[in-house]
Amino acid sequence: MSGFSWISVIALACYLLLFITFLAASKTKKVIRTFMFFLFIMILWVGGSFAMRSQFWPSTRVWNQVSLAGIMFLPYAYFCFVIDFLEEKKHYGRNVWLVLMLICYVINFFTGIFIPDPRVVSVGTSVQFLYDYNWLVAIPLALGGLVLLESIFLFVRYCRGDTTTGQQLLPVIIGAAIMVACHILSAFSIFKGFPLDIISGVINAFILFYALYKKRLFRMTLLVSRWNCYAVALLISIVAFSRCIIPIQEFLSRAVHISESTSIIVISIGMMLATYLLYLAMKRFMDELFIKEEAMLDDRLREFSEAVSRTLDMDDILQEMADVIRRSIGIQHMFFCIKNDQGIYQIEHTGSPLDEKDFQLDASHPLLTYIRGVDGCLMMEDFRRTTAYKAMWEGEKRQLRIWEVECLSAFKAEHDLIGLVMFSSKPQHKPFTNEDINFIQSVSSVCAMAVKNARLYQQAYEEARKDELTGLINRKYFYEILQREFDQSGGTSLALAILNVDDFKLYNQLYGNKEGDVVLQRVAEIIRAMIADRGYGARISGKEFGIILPGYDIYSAKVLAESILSQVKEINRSQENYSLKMVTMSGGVCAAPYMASSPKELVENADMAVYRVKRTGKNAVIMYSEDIEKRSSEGAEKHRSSYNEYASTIYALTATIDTKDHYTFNHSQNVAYYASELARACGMNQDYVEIVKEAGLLHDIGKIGINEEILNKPGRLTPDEYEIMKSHVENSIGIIRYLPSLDYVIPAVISHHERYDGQGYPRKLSGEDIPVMGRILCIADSFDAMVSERSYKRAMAVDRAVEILWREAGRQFDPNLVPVFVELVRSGKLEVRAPDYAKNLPPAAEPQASVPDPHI
Amino acid sequence: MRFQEKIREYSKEEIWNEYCGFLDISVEEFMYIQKRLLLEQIQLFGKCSLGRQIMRGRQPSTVEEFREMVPLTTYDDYAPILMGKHKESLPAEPILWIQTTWEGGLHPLKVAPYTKSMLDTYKHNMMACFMLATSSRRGDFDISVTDHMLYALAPLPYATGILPLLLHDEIDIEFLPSVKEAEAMTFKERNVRGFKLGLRKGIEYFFGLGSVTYYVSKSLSSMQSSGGSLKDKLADASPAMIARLLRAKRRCKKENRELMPKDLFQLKGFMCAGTDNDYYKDDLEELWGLRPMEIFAGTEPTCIGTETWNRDGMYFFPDACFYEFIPQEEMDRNMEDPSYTPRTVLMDEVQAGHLYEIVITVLKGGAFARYRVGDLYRCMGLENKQDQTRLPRFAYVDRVPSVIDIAGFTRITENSIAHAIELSGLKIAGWTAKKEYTSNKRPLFHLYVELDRSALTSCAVSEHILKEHLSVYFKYLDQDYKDLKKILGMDPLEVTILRCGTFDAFAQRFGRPIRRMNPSSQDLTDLLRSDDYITGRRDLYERV
Repeated sequence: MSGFSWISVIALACYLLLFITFLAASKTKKVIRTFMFFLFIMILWVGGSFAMRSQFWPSTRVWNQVSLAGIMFLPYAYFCFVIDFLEEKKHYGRNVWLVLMLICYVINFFTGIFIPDPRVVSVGTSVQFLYDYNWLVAIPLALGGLVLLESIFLFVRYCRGDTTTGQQLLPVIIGAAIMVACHILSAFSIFKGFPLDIISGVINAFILFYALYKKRLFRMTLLVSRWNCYAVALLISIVAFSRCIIPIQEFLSRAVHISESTSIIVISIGMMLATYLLYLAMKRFMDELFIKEEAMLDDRLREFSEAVSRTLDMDDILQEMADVIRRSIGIQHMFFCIKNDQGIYQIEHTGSPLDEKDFQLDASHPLLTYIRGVDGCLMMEDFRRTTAYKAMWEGEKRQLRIWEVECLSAFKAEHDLIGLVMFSSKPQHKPFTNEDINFIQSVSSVCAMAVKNARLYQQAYEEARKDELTGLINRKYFYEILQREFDQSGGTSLALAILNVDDFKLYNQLYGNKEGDVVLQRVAEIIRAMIADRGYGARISGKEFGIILPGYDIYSAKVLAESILSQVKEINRSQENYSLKMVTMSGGVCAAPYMASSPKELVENADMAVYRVKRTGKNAVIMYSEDIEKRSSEGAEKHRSSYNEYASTIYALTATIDTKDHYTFNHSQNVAYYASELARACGMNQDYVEIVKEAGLLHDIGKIGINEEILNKPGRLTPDEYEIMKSHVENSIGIIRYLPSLDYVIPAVISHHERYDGQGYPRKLSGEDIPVMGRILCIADSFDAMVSERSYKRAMAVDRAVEILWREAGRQFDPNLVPVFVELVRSGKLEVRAPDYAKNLPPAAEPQASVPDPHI
Repeated sequence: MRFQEKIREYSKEEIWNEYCGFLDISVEEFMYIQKRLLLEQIQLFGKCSLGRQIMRGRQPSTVEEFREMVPLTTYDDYAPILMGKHKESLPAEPILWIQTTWEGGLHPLKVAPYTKSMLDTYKHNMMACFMLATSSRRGDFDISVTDHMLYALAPLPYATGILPLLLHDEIDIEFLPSVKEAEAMTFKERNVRGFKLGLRKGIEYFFGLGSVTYYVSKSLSSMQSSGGSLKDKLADASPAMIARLLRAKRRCKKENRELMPKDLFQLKGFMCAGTDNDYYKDDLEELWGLRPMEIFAGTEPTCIGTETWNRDGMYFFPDACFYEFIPQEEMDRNMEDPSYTPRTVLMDEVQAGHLYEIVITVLKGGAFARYRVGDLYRCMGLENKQDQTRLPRFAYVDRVPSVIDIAGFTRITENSIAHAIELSGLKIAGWTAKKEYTSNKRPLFHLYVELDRSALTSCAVSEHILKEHLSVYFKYLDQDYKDLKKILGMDPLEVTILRCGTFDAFAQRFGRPIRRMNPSSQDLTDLLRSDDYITGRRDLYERV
């Protein structure tokens, strides 16, 4: 190998290496394929030239033509690269120039008219190649020049006013400039024989390679492998040693006096070592230059995946994501909007704790609607250019501008959009690269699944700790928190309030469990609102609530509990709830360390205080300790039966009816008697029996408002009169609601004309939805109506009445209560208040086999 | 990113979707955008005193509540705040105040505030118009940074002056003459200079009121007829233009016709705005070889709609204003009984073929809520298979009958006519005015008058005298009216004297007086029929 021909070999090796490397890599982008075409042309040029100069087989002419093909098509290959690099679509020049170039080359191939084959002249041991050009050489040169001119024109067009494109094109322009400059310089005698053109070609190839990499058109990790580096190192070693092997051998035999065979072994070992060292150096260089950054991102993604898989805490997951994005891409501000139970996407977390979180998007928000249909990240710049963006509020646009949101990524899990992350700009407002976007997408995908799992866990966690009905924490978790707070309280105060709904069982019996549940929910709402984040509210049993108040002294806790009680009393005071009785609660308060030395003692003492309140009149809060005794002595005096207090009122009211309708007065007394006996027979407690009795007395009180002519009309009522008569139910409620302590009879009174099959009035309730007291009254009322004498009818035989009760069980009457009532009648435990003749009449003597309406 | 950068950065399809993508949405999507933006506007109204005043102290929470609670408004409702430019009372801070005349000269100039967001939307929609003006099919447009625009519209602070500002924000298109230069020129000077520059640099776009563009186009032809002047102007013309001119002159000579702008210039886009455009479009197409595309813009509503490549009906932009439409029968009822509150319908409730008066609520912090602009539109269809659109499309019809707009210049109202008559001292006992069109499709303002019997013996009262006399006072009172003559050389007034007692006879016969502004054709025929027996002018029937 003589002269500078080794440079050609190195250049050829570089081109081949690049070409083979890209051959193995993905070639999805057109510009990559064009770059390979460019490399191929360079290989033809340099390889052909080298083979010709080395006079390889088959002939110099063949290699000259190969080299010429490379030279002639080089401007065209460069032009194609520029077009594809600029992503210029359907450029006419591509085909036009190709055809012209081909014509030019083919003509030259057969005629040698433009560039003739060189003459081979032997000069000593070497040969020279002399070209005999004429003016026609200007034709292919002009063709190449025009192609290059068009490339320059494209450069100018794309760079004008567009700095981004200009920056991307800069390396390509520099590469072209170097090539042109080297070709011009090689014409000077000083560089004669030195292959500047070939060197510039190699430099240009690497510059183009760099330009492609900067434009993120391929991933370095896909190109650079251990084998590539080893191949390059080997190639360089071979070239280097091929030049040095003889001088080294001469040096070894002359200076060290070793034999030829030994020197060959030494040189071989040296070559192996040099190759290996070169390989290491190259690998390290490539890692430092390109791969390190990509590998680092991969590592961080892996670390992030591991980190989020270790936690189920939403905040931790989002913080991990914020951290990994900040470290890898440098974005400081991120806003994580996560879908809540109401379907609202609210900011749950921000990259910086100082960022505001007062921002939310509803499920139908145009941004969310749009991003649902986007795969991967959405650049704000792209979103701004959609029609959906038109529906954004100016306030929202402004907010996103203030936050400098540039990129958005959706958290999608199984087609469900569970969240959205908004990323602000990168440092110095650098544009987001493909790597950045890919990284964000990868991190978002991992995070989306983690967030989904965290939400499911959080849901399960809350369900395990929350009371389903009220949403407060449950008994088990209440004790856990109490213990924890007690342990953490140290010397500070920890107060506990226990609030118990008064007469809740009665309330349920009066209005049904559904109404009872509503009350518990309302109480829970009040507790939640009152304690806010200053303590913990829990439902610790059916009707009992516990409130843990860290840092509260006993007095403050009592004040808070009293505030809750005063609000609870308002629950049923609204117009629509007039028919429900007032809800009251009894509360006890205790505090550690002053009055309890353990959580257990705290609960027991508070419980004891509640017990005292219950015993001394309910509807109050007392503190544990001496207050309890004081209250106990005062309260006993005040406690009286509401019935005793209002007995005279009830009597007065029923007596008023007597003046208008003396049947009704006796009827009320009878119904009260029958109903209370039935209630007692059903195993209800004394309080309840008393209420039933009061309801019986008052159930027809509304008749005060009915015209006497209708009340005492002998014979059937007309439909209009019947409607008026039916209104006595509402009239009764209107009267009773003004007797605050008797309002609990309202449910019974209002429902005593409901039928078990839902055909009654006024509310057409059916089955168990009718308060049990109403169902009792219904039987008592109907029975008395049947067996008593009225202005329009004689009394029915008792047996006949019983028979009708049986028949109507499950239709008009509660089928569970009828047997109890009939048993009372038959056993004689119930004194039937009917005329004597009715008691003795046989059932068959009564032809009418229907239940008479008590008012007809 | 400016539009001119987008041209390089993005594909045509992407740019088209960004600006003209609204043409692809359904009416449901259109309404979603409308209603969502209106909710923001309602919030903004709730925070300012103007809004609270308009909404009568209530705060609607839905679009339906807003339409129920807020009455239909006119400029009188806003005048105390807007005329004083009380920024603090407005829904958002205005950065521009645009002005226009208010009932000719009867009121001071009326002003409308423009917020930054409104201008951004205006700009975006204006670019859409610009693209559509150069398009011949969906997705196609031809805009280049090196293009030139001949601009025949008034400068700031009139609404038309915003366009150059907005366009310059997006693209370095050259205006002929430059905006700054044009501001110091008269209308005529601007045209002459514009054409002179056009001969040197070329004209790719032309935008103006239909009537003005027609006048300007004709003036080019007149330049040719004046012989020497055109040659003088060609001193600066480019060689290509001179060659084109020579070819054109030969062709004109051969075809025995005047030189037309299309012989010299190859327009890419041609836009017109204002009223009466339908009557100029054919002529303009003949002159320029390209049919103008109509856009719909105004001082109060901003730019609200545009035609497309088919030039067959306009589409409203979904984000400029919230649109309501008063059906014709409701509008008529309201004209008969001003105390009647007409019902409005929304974009998804309009019916093809029906006539509507538009009511707008300006979005993005604008000041006007349920504002009666005074324009009539006809719904041409609810979708268009040719355009592949699913939105209702409209045609601009005219101003509402209570206003007579001549060539987009002047807004003559009952008040302004009464005022002119009063000032003139003419003893006119009764009158009615109607906008009519001449046989060559030019608008005219026809005043039918009945003189006081006492004047007949003491004054010279021919139609010519009355026309001259009233024209003087209209020009005195109304600058816009004056501009009609000054700029377009138009004198649109025509007077017909009716027999004494004609108006009374009509009232007696029909039990009601004839409407003073734009009475129905039937009413006018009935009025003239009774007069006809005296004057013998049956030909008048043909003109009403």
